[in-house]
Amino acid sequence: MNSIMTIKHDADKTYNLTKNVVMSTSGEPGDVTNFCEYILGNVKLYGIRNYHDLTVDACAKYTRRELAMSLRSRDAYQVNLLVGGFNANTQKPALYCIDYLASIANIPFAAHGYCSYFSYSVLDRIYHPNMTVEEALNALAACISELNTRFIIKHTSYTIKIIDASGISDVSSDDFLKRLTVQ
Amino acid sequence: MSRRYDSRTTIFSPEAGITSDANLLINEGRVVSQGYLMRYDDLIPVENLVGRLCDIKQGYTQFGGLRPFGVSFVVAGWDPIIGFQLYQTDPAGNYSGWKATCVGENSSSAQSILKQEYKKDEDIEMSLQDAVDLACKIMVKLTDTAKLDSDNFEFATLSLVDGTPKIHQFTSSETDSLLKKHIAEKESKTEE
Repeated sequence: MNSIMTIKHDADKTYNLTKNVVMSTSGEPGDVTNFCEYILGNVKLYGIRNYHDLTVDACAKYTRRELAMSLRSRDAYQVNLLVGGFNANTQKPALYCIDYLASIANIPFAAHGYCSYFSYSVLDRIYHPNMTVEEALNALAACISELNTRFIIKHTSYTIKIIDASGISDVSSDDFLKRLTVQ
Repeated sequence: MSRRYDSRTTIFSPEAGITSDANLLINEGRVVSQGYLMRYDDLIPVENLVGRLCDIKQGYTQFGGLRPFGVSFVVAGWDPIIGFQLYQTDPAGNYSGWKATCVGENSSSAQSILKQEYKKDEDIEMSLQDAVDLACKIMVKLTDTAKLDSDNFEFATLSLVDGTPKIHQFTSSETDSLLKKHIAEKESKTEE
């Protein structure tokens, strides 16, 4: 989609795969929808069939594999993903960064696209293990403030989700914007 | 005879079943487990595995005009979702979860003893040693003393060691000493 038009400024590009797993997406718009709806459907089907959900790690590995299988075919998908969630069995959170070539990495923080050039540097400074939710939201705000300073595109709305043992909760975009040091 | 699947599940299939049929299903089960590992990078949950085996068994009762698999399994396993589990399957492809069960020759007598002796109190967990002793006691009760040795019996336990499930297959000397202990108890009881 090569266009200069903003169709929707507060589009939600995330998918809630299970109660404790969220997949956030970027890439070729049609490919993203197609691929993610397929993954969502299969993950949900597993949950219905087996009376328990896939863990965040299993979701990520499964997604990666589906991407890998389509890679060397006519239907290669150009989709970059972050799969994050809380594993209720191990009681640990996990974040997986999957790119369109189906490589996967389990890392504490990640970004896809142009913003990654800015975000990784900021997060490398700020991140430390066992951050609180407050600290994490401030770290995110620091990344976006940096983008507002130096990146050519300014957004006015963000989709932010927090996942923990009890499930997925949305952070209001307006509340979050108040944290930014550079609007 | 017992067969190990992956590090967490043990499948026991009794001699009463058709061994060659059992072998086929166990092979299928191994492929199923590895398929799950490949797809999800995770060990297959026990019930998933049992369900898949039973789906195969059921297929042979409905399609193709082939005879069913003459095998009943007792599947013992552990996974992080439910914990310890015990399942029993039959040639029809039915399966159900059990606290204690048995298949094969004399299984109905054994089952009724299990029903009486297995600790029903939900608050008191049976220790592994108690469970081994109970299983052995039943075996000794229902079998000819002449046949009670490590040539004819195999014991195995599944337990959590440091959070990972471990299968311990009794060596022939361990089996012999366990059986000897219970034969002695049985004989002292019959003397009374």
